[in-house]
Amino acid sequence: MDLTHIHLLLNHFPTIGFIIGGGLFLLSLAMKSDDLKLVSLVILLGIALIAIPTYMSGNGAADAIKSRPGVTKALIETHEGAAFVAMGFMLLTGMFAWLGLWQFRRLAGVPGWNLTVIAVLTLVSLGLMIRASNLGGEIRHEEIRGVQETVTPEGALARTVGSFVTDTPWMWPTCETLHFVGLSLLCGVVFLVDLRVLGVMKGVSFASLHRLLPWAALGFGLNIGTGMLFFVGIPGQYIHNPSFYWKIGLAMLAGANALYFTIFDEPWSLGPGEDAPLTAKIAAVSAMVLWIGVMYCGSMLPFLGNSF
Amino acid sequence: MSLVVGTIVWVSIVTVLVAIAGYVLDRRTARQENVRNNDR
Repeated sequence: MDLTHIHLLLNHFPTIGFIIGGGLFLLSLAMKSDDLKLVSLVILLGIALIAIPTYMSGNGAADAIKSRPGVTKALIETHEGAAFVAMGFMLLTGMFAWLGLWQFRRLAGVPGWNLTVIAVLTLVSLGLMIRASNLGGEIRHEEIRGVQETVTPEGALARTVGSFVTDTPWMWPTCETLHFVGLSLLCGVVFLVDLRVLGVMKGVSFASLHRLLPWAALGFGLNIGTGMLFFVGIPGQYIHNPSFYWKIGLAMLAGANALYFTIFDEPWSLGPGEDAPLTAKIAAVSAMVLWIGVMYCGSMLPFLGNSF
Repeated sequence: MSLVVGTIVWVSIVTVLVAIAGYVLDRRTARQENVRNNDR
């Protein structure tokens, strides 16, 4: 199995997932159902995370078919540009969906402003992703192509951004620095929460540390943003690197693990001086292992793989 | 923009924006939590 298989496996998830997640979200607003709202926000967040490997595997798929008859560079780059914009909006939706989950736990409800933001972003992302999917289909399916090649406002945006990242002297080191700022924010907060659950600083309630989680989410957002800029800069050095596959896989799992500390009852009810249940401790240890794994695989990109 | 100036300027801008976002969110949450506690 290679990246082409993974792209074919994943490429319908963002569109269909957002139709389901967004549909359930709008239904939850109409029915005033909190349970449905929680489920829909989890789906939107999960699909936003899946959009990352979907986008990245696209570069591997492009490599595999670029020299086939009927496939043009313009078709591939137009699809790539549209997918880049759609993924950006999906990730933004995912961030606000996570914030909604956090607010739900913290404030016993999602504030109206965030519900509006999530609804608007979901609809915009869905529209953009449907267009990106259609453009992806046009690469191999001549029967759905028009007479003229499709022109989109963003064109080959991913290639333009990629060239900007690699050709501007300050861009790569800026992204590197911000990647470390994001990492420090993320791991600083996550490890603090995990250590409390494992029994360190028992006098502090979980709810006090839960308040810091948005800082970790901002760090994660910074890392995804800068990470995507590295990727579009030189995709070739990542798509053939096993260490990178592991890094992305572990980051997805760690993102899913964060949901436990965001919304589950068990850690939330942990008061000052109380010992956490075994499930919470297992989740804390796995979070630490996963994030250290992400850092290890990121650092090993040039050593275990062929990057840089 | 040179390497050193560019990195310092953009790292500063993005870091400050992240800090503002985190601060505003935290203040807003604290205010809403106070309102909720007062309502009880």
